[in-house]
Amino acid sequence: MKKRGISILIEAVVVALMVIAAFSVAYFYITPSNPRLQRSQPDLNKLGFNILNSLAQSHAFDDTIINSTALFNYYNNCSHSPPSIVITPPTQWGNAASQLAYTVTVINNDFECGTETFVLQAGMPSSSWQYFFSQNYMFIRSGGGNSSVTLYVTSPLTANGPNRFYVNVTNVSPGLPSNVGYAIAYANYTVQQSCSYSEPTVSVLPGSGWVNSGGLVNYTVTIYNNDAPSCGYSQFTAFVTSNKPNLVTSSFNSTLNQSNITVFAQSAGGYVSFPLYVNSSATFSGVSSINVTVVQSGKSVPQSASQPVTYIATYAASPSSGCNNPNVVITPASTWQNSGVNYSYTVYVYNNDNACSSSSSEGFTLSISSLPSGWKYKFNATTLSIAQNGGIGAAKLYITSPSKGIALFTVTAKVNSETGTSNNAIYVVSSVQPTCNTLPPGLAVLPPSGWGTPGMQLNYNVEITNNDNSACGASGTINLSVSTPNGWAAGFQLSNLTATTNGGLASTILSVKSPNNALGYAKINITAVDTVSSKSSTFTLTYFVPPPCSNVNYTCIVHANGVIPGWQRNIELALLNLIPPGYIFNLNVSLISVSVYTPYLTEAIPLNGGFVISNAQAQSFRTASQIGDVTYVYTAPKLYILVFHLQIAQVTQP
Amino acid sequence: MKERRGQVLIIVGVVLSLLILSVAVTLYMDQLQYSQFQISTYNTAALNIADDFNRVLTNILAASTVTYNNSADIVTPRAWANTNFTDWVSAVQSQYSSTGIQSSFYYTNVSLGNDPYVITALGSSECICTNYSLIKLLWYAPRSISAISAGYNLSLPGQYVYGLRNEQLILLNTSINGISVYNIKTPTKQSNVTTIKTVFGVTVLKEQGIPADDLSVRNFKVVYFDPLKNEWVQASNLTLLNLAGGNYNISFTASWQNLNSYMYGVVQKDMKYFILWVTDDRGIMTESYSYTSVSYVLHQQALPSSDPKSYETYVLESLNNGSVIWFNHLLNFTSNAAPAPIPIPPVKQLRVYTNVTGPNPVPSQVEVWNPTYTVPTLEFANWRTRFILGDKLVYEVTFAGNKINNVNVTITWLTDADAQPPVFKLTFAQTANEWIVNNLQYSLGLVTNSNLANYEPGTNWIDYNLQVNATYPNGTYNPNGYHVEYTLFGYDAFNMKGGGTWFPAKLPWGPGPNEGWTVLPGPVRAVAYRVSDFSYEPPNDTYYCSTGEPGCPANHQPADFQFTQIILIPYNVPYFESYLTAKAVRNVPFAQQYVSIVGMIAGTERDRNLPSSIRPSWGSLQCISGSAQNIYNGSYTPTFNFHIFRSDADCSNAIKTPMYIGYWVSLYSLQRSQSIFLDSNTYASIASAPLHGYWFWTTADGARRVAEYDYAYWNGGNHNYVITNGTVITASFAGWIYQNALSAPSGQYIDSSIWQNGYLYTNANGAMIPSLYYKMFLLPYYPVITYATVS
Repeated sequence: MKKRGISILIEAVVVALMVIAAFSVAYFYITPSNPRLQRSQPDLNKLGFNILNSLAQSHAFDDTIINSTALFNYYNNCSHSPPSIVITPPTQWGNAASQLAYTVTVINNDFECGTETFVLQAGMPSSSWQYFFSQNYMFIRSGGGNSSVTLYVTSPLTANGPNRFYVNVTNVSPGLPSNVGYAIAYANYTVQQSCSYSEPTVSVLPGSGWVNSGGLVNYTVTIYNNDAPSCGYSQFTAFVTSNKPNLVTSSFNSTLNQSNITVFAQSAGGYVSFPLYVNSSATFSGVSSINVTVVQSGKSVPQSASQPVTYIATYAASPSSGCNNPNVVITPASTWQNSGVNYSYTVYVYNNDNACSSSSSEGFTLSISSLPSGWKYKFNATTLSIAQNGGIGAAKLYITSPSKGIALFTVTAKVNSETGTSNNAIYVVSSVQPTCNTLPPGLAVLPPSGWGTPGMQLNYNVEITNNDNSACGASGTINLSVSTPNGWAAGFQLSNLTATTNGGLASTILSVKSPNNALGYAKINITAVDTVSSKSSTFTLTYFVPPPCSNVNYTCIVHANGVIPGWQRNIELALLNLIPPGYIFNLNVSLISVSVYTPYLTEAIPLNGGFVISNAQAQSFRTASQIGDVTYVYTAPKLYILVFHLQIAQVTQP
Repeated sequence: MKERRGQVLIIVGVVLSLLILSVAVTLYMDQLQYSQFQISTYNTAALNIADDFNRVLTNILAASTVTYNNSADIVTPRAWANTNFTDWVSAVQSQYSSTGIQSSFYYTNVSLGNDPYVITALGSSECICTNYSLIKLLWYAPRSISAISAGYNLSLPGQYVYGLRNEQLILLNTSINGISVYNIKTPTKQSNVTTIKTVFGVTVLKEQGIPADDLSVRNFKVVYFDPLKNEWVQASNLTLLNLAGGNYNISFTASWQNLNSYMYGVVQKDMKYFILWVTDDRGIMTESYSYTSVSYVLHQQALPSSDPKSYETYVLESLNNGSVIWFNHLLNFTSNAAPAPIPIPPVKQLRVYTNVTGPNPVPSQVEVWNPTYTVPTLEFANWRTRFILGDKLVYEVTFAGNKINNVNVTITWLTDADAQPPVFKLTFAQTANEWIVNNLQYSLGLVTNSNLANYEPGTNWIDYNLQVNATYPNGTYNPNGYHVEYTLFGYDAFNMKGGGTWFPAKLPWGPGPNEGWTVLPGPVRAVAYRVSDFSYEPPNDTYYCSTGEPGCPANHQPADFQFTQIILIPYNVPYFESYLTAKAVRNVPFAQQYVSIVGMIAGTERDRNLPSSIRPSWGSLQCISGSAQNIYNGSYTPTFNFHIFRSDADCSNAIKTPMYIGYWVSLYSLQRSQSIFLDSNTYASIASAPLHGYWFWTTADGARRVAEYDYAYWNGGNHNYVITNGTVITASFAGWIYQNALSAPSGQYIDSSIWQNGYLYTNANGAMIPSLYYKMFLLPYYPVITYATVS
């Protein structure tokens, strides 16, 4: 009996142990291995989703993470910078009410933004100015893409002098704040007084040269520019010919091999003088006519049609008997005076006779012709006694103008049956006396911004205009200088540019090289100084070295001020308030980039920037075998897309 | 013993059962947990995609509506919306690709309802749908909708779930209803301020009819038409009453000082016309108008009611205040009709229909003029703008058709933002010397090359004219065809060195190579205009302008006139319009008495060699003396020069003074014909000038045949003729170009070279057409608007 009792006891113990073991095994399989984890993974996922969704519904992410004024997202990480704009030429001169065409060039300085839309607007000096663009909007690819349109500007009839206008460009990509994609450029429209062209006048002194055969005569040719004052300098080309070219040589240089010469003369009676050389063979004896023709070139309107002016000089290598017409020269051949001025001309008469009469001297009678009514004249002597064989007589001719008008007149000298008539001389009444007015030079750089890589040299075309008027000279020199940030190098192909006055244009090349560690953009300042007035203009061009963001990263975005500083802490505080006590979490946020050039190629760019948004140590999750892991996509009103990865686990009992 | 063994076995069995049960439970729980985990992953992803899908559609729609509202151009916002949606799809698919979720996204075609206003605007056969276009904006009607629609399919292969479909329609639907206008303060002697209050209801709904019931007054913007300012002005005193369910009552007031009883009726009527912008809290915007169209009945008075009126087509201009202009004059509204303002949609939305032309809109365009409508601007045909002060809605109303005397005209604005701007129907060409417009009925060239200002013999050109040229089928000028020039204003005459006289010596001019002309194309009407005080005298190369004025050369003479010239060339009508005003700015001296208002020259010197079939040989004129209106026809001599001055009091004899003129004159050949139709003011201006008259003449070389109206006929011996300072001369005329004029029957013109014995022959089309249609351009015969309504 005692033995049976022990056996029963043992059996009971064994059975109990087996039951305990079975329950233990079952318990092992049906309960979490970590006794501290209370929630299952599905619950944790739901909790994480609910937390992120509640933040999304309350718009907690809208303006918390991404700085939309600096970074706008087409589901890519395009970074915005103001576009660059330039108007070329920077200055134009035109008549009032005329239409001038300018080229407006815009560079899209955005990065990784695809092709964007830009709208142009212009601001004129007043509402009476009119303008229109060949197209007032542009589609320009980002990353330094450029586009140009033509701007037509028409000034009102009442406009005068220099007038500045502007063109602004705005990136109108939807949702982009207007203060981000905006730039402005200025240009000038200088309204000049209408330029009226007139024939030039010319004089050649002496009117006749008398030398022995083979002798050289030095003449002086003077060309007078009779264009209106606003016309500025004009170019003249003088040609000389002889009617006996095989015997008589005429030239504008002393080596007797230059038959034409190009010179410049200021308008409104400005003149230029240069020598003329005439020689003959040693055996030549007689008279040769030397013909000087002046052609005014560079005219583009009908009034500017060139017309030759001819003067005949007589060359008598060896005096021969006979009666010849005298030569008559009026000097100056042109004068511009205020009204009422009694102006004194000198009339030279050259006696070309040789033994024409018995007396050594002959009496020449002077007369004037073609003087308009209302004009008065007076010779100090109407008769000149001049020796034969090249004798010279001179008389003063006083002409008094009325209140206005132009007089074109000739003087005739007559002796016996021989008559000589001068070339035309002109007297212009003009209250407009040219005065030198200076303005800062126009300056433009094309392209206004360039995109390069570290260490790369970019070339820019620098255009200047000389805004001084022609009274300051035919042309002027504009000095260029450039300043760069430290480490950058820049230089001009030509740093001193010469441009004609009245809006003349000149250009050179500026080369800019970035340092090897360049990143971002550099402002390159160019200064143009008018050497006449020391007035200057500046232009700032941009050299972009985009970040190595072929794969856009956090550095790129931060560089573009694309994230709100401290956003990580704000989100962390929100999570600490929303997630119940006893849970640990870890949040990673990414920005989704969609390549604008390769659709459907996306990239998630981590935005945490090394900041751990968590309330636990990393190893805390290792002890939790049940971890919720939630992915949440959120599209903000500005249409940038964020992806949240939230890990969550419960570490204490509820 | 048996009992003991049995107990042990039972116990062992229980234990084994428990063990098996435990294992089974454990395995079940494990499988259950795995399944729950998978479902949770799919659920959160599906929920997330659904939520963000709504968000992205909402945000795209909001930005698109704002952009379109600012730009009046749907192209850019639509392209941008498509790009963003595509990019978002890429982003989402990439994020959930690791979960095994398969997704596809697509645009949908969702009906937006059957609002009668929308149906009216779109046509009853069209579906009011989003039409697979992602965003759809139906604005500018009492009911306006901004909508975006798309859908997607999700498949969950791990859960054996396929085709989880979700289509979303995000919209904002705004409806205006119940408009009432109250006079809340009757003007009295004590108060000179009249205040009128407008009250209307608006219902704002989101998708699925969800009320937008959380809006405040900042979500609404109202502008109303102020007829005293002729502008749409923003109501600054909106009051809002939220009636719940997305229903609101909005009221605003407007006040005017010293309003007379007539204007009170006008402003009270016009206060029904307003525009409402609603922007909900999601940023989605709508633009609603309180009315959809303006209609009126145009009654013609120019032609007999029984006439077919084959060419009676008016090119009308409607302004933003509802006024209608024909030939530079406001048309009268009878007592039963009053103008209603036209709102400010993007100009591409505007369409004009008439009951004569049926369901297709008539040719129309919007032109941008200066705020006083006197001079076009360089933005002449810009369609990326709204219809505002200074804009003209130009359209053509025809009475062609038997016994049509009234035409119903409806001006409406399409609700669909995808409406396209008008296509160019006019064709243009620029040659070295001419700007040529082909309007389908004629080809007109404006000479714009100042280099052609040359009076020397041998030139083929006259620099101050409009040329009606024969063209080849491709539209280019046919130098061997018909050629007639309309001469514009000119004055004084010049004795040529070799004998003869040059007419006219002085021309209106302007600075620059185009003589100051600005020419601007448009889809259905082109314009050339010049505003200048320059004159130019080619024979003397002398400019007449103001001292010191920019562009005025130093060696100039004082300005004679201030000129404003506008030439309008409409599409597919037989006429062009020309307006000139010349105001004397000094006592204008003349070397010879001569002022030509307008005329026609049958070609250049080379036309002498043209065959008689195409060389204009005949002319007709109207002569008015008291109540007598006679028509005289005549022909030019084949080769010789002659001068005929019309006419004496009964229009039967040619004498120089006094002279009697009529409203029209024509010059024609078998191939082409053209007339000058004066307007009433111009006729009065010429007729009141003491030395006015017709002048028919042939140039000395016998080549050019001229018919012209003279403000002062040529008297080469009168060197003392003066136009006094301040005199205003107007020259508004229509150049009427028509075809197939009949010559006189054989024999009837044989001896008609002596025009003063003019032969009355009214059966020739050369006289019949102008004698029938000239009244279109005379003020007493302008059409009137007999009825107007707004819907």
